[in-house]
Amino acid sequence: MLSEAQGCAILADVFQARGYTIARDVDFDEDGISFNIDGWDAAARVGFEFRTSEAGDKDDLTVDEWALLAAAIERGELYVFVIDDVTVVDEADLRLYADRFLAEVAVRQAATRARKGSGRHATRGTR
Amino acid sequence: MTMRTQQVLHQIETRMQQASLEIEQLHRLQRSIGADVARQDHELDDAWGHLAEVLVPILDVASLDALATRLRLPAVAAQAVIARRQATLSQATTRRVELLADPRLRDAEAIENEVQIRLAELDEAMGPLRTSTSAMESTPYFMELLAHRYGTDEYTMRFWQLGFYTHWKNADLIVAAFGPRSGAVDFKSLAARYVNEKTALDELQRGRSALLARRQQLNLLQRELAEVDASINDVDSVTLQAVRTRVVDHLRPLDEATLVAMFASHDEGLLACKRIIGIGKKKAYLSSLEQEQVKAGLEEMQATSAKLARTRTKLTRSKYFNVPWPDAEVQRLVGPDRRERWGKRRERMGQTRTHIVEFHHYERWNPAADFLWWDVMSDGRLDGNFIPEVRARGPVHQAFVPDVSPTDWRDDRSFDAS
Repeated sequence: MLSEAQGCAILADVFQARGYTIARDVDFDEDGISFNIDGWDAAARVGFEFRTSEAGDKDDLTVDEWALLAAAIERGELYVFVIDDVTVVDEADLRLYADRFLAEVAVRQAATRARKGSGRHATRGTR
Repeated sequence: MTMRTQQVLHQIETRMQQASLEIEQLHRLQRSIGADVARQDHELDDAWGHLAEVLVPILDVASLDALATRLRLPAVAAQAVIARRQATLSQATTRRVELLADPRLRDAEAIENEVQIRLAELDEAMGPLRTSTSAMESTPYFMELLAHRYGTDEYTMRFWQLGFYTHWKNADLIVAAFGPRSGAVDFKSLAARYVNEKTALDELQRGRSALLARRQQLNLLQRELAEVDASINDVDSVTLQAVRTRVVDHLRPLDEATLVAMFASHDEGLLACKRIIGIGKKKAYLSSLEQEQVKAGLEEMQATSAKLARTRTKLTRSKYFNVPWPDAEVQRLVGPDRRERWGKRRERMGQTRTHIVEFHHYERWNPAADFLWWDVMSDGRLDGNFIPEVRARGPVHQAFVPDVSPTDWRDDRSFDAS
């Protein structure tokens, strides 16, 4: 079982291995969304955030802010890997999942670059 | 002579232990009396049953009519009883005809065979479905993925959520585990297969429940037929019992004097009434003994114990440490050894209880004489001041003389039985 601190360290490692420059505990404040993000590459606009009660993060964002963040991710304006419950995964799984997330981000960013406004959307749920 | 505080405390402890032991023994006596009172209730029911047997030994026209007159209870007159017997018989016979005409009872054997065969078929069909669906249901994440409608357009988890990937991985594991056997290539088809199997299983289960309900209905009809047959065959004993019950229901609310007057010229009935009244008195006396003596004794012992405890608390204060206590003061604090007195008191209560419980000479009570049941039970040898009616009456001035020669009730009954 992983703690949030362990989870953050693992994710920072995976993101950096993919070429991202991750800063930890960054104050994020954009378009009505204001929170302290656990890991963030401001240039690539890619990061990760734990929503666990361990660090009181569940209260960091309001419901409206979460909705705004989710919409921004869906529009491809930024990409944040959200971990609701780190206790259900082990290190190997977390590395695998983060890697899959970043692969998906790469696909979406490439699509956005190629054809603005008509990007492909991953639909893992319909595999 | 003086005594140190520690020695006084030791004596107080000893007294407290003695008091505690006495309290325990009084509690035991209290529980025994409680059980005696409960036993009297059973004896009372038995006594009422005996009176009914005495009054209605058989269903005989003359006896029933005489009883109806004596009790002023027309419901037990011969004509009424015969009419009720006939109505019962007629009702049962009608119901029997209806039951025998019911096709379910007529074809009972065929129905049971059919139910058995179809249940076996259903169980055979349900077995593999149950195995398959249970295996999937008990697989981690299967039900969660199903609830999230994983693999369909209705799946709502998104690529930026951790759950999306845990579902992905576990869906892959589940398909790998079940796919080869089921021919499913992805979770969607596996889930569809599960839903189909579950639907089929539920349908078969409904069919099975319907068969079991059919069998239960048949069993109920068969049981009712057996009961109807029994009520026809036993109509006389059922009617006799009904008359006896009616008689007891009529007599129970009557007071002692009315009962005695009613059976003044019916020796056996009067004796049975005396037993009923006597058992009621035994119950009342036992309750008085518990309330007036045992409970009072317990309260006294608890007060003694509490007083000793307070003294002990006081003497354990540091200012009393090593203080010399004169003998007279020790006596005042500790009090005398009262075990012998307590023991005698408890022994008296026990003797009284035994005397009441073991009394069975109900025939010795003479309703016409100016004696209380307590006089009959105690032969005037026991103090009955714990009983309100004895206290109210005051001391007896003449020795109690039994109404008839002493005969133990139980001996009578065992003699009759033999």
